[in-house]
Amino acid sequence: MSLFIKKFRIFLAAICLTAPIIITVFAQEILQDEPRIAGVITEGRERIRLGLPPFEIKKDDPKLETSSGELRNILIADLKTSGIFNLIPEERYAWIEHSVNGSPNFEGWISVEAESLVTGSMDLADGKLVFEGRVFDTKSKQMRIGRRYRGEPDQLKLIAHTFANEIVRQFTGKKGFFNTSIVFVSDRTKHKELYISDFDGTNMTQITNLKSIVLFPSISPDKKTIYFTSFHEGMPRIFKVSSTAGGGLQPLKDSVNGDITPAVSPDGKKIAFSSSRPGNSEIYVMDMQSGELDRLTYHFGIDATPAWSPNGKSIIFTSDRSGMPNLYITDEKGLETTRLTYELQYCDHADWSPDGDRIVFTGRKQGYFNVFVKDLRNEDIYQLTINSRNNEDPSWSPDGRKIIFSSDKTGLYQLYLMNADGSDQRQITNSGNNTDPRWSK
Amino acid sequence: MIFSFKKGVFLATMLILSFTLFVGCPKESRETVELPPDATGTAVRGDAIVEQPTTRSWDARGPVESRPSTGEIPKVSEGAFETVYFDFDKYNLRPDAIEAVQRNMQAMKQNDTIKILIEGHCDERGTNEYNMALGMRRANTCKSYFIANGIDSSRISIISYGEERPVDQNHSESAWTKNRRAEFLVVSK
Repeated sequence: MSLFIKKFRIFLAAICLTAPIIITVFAQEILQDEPRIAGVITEGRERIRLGLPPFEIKKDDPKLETSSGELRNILIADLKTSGIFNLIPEERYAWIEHSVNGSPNFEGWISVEAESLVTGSMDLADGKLVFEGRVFDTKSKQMRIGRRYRGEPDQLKLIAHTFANEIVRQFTGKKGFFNTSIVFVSDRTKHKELYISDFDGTNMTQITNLKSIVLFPSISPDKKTIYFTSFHEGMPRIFKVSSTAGGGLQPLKDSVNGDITPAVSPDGKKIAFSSSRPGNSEIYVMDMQSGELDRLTYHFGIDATPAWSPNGKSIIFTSDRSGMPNLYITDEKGLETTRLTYELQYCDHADWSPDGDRIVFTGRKQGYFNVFVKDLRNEDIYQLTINSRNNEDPSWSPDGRKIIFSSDKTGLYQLYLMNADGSDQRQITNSGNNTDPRWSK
Repeated sequence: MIFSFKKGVFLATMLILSFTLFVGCPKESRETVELPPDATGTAVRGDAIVEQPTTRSWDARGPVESRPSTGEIPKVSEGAFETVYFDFDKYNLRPDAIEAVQRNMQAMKQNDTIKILIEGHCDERGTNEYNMALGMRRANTCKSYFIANGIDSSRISIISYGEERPVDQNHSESAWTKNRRAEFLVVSK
């Protein structure tokens, strides 16, 4: 019996020594969560094949012809950007008669594989442009929408974008984002300043000229005010400025040295930010009407970059309390905090999708920053950018179908648009370094 | 009893030790990531050793002209104050940093009317947001050390520039090492 016991003890000791090594090796395999690449977040919706022939021109006027061509080009670009449509190739427009007896030649359009048809006419009345647009279903021959717009010639873009928004609403139930704006930071003047432009980077206006360092913009929901951190008075704190002409520059009341990463609440009444006032970066929420200040975090680590949920009840923020920066979620009083990301070594700059289901954020993997999306419903993580150096600062479009972000893949940081599944990346800036974009409603 | 008490203790210890070994292994050790510089100052990025930074063989203040002034804080640079350096993603004072801070503290005590500004800086590799907070933390760590050793807090102000004001704009390990710093500037005498 004693020999058996001796052997048993040796056996047990061997197990105790080797088991942890074996378990550790396998645990690494099980615990290592490879973020999936480019999942289909648009849920596999097929694109709608659309015909958009040149518009009818009602008056013989070369300027009208030019305007008509311009409007059509903007409309085509917008509908392509929406990610919903597949515009039929340009050469097919020459294959068929577009209309028969004043009505669309639906059989012809079906023959070039257009499921939907957009027609339009341009006219001039009292110096104003008049555009009439219609959307048809080629199979049923039904008109889905008809709109007429009047405007000054310099409102051509506005007309095109407004009609594009209506077309998108018709097919998705949600208005398009084509006359929304983006606010971002650019150092093209050799100093970091605030800029605003159309969502596609056109129509750019410089908002600040402080010749210092401007960072971390956040737009109010009514689009009128931009909050940001600036060094122009020496010590950096939070300021606000009007989004139109850059007037109304003033500090946020009671903002102090070291207040950074402001985020306006969805109802526009509160502002969350990170402050070092207690000697350590913590998340605060200020009621901008009453001035009341709530402190949300009490941890020794760095807490920064808050982002509101669409219903204003939760806040995601970045904290290094676990050692490296990761995303955490808390309620608006900071009572219950949960960690949200485990899969990546370094996470920051979260933005909550308009439908509340997903967050997009910057994550570091193997030395570079990339854009990731976490689905809050099933906890899946998707990597949207890959093998293109650093891709950071993501922000959702108002309809949650697109993401704007900043990438240094061309050397300097430029802004890019892409679909929510990572496809169709499109560069929209090309001068200086452009970072920290925020997409307004 | 089949096992003697002593042997039971031995086995239990082995079990506990083995368990600690298992639990103590961080997941991250298997990923290819940047490691903080070890004690000899060699930093490893990915799998390649990029550069071997020397410890403080350059002018501790850095070239003044590479930093444009921002705002109204008057800066009267004094040779008496040394720049303090930090490890990657860290804000604690390592031994050589403590020595530099102590020498700066001596300068404060010898000129007991001087007021200083401590600037916290980071290298470019983190996000701009986190680096702004990290720079503040680095400045605060130095300030706390001063206060804990008897310097009046009204003599010290702090500011963070995050990664916005590097002394070396190159994208190399040696540039990054120079940029992870706290600078001490005299603002009034």
